[in-house]
Amino acid sequence: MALMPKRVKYRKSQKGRVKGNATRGNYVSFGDYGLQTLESGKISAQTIEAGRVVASQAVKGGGKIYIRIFPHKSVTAIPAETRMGKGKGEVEYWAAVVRPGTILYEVSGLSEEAAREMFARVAHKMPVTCRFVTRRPTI
Amino acid sequence: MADAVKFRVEPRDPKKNVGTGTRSARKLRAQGLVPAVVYGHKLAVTPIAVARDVVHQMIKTPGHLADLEIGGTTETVMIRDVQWDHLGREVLHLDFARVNLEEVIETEVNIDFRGTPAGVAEGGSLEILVHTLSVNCKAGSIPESIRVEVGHLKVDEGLHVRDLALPADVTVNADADLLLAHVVTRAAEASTAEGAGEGPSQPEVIKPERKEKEKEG
Repeated sequence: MALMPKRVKYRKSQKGRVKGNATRGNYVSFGDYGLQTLESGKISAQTIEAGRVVASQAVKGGGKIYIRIFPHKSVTAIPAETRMGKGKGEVEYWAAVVRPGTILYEVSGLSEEAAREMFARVAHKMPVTCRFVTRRPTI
Repeated sequence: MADAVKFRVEPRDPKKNVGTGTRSARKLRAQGLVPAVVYGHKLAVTPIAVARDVVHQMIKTPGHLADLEIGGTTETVMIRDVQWDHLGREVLHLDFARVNLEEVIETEVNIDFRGTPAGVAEGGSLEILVHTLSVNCKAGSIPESIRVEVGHLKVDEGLHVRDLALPADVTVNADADLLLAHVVTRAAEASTAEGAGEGPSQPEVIKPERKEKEKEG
């Protein structure tokens, strides 16, 4: 099953706008390599799961995958051929809001070549342009 | 032990809006320079500008020591902080701390895990939990990395800070029982990942608690 919060204060949230760049969660923390988004947007829980499945198929149990984003935001929709009004629609899916710089996935225990190949496959599933990143030098 | 890199840097006017401030920093970056400051040893803060290629060379050098030639004087410094852009491509600003090669400083050092654990052949996988350690050592003898051999680790075995073989004048600022890496079974790893996804189709809504007055009424 796709990711979603266990408990929420309010089921439905306002749409909002995704502004600015990522100021946290924008560097590789847990693994050796990561996939970073270059665009802002919303990534649905289904897409996050699809990326995880592709990644785990590619690593074949060889490495450890870290998912760095979580779908906290509910997205509602009104059914087709419905008259306007009568309130806000029902929750359609849950999504993670990402800004340029956000690390989506990380992996450890793989060679750089294998990690690049794996993240290329994952990037195909993503609705935002992504790039491959490595750990920042230790200061 | 890492050697200090020698290079010349340009001093900046410490006056606000002349040599420092947002606008002048942006102008410097457009010219291929990185704004930086030198501080420490109870001396005045010196704003400087460093060439971008020198910065990248220095960041890659283990120990991050440098001999800066600022307006005729040479100062030994080490990188204290780096400010990156949101994508981690460009360095926006650098902090240099004045150091004496004989003084004891606190710095971060990489852990270099060597070898393939014996547990990997038994179906386990190595999970690294800590990549860097904070150490106290002399500025002139910062180790490039702390080398650790993990070849002997079997499944469900781990490596702690107490197991590290450190140079004589280096001490670690971490709990001796801190787990650095361990070999886990892949089956256990997969079950925890799958278990996280199971649950109800909709999240539970936290209902606001009624006020005491309403309860009484």
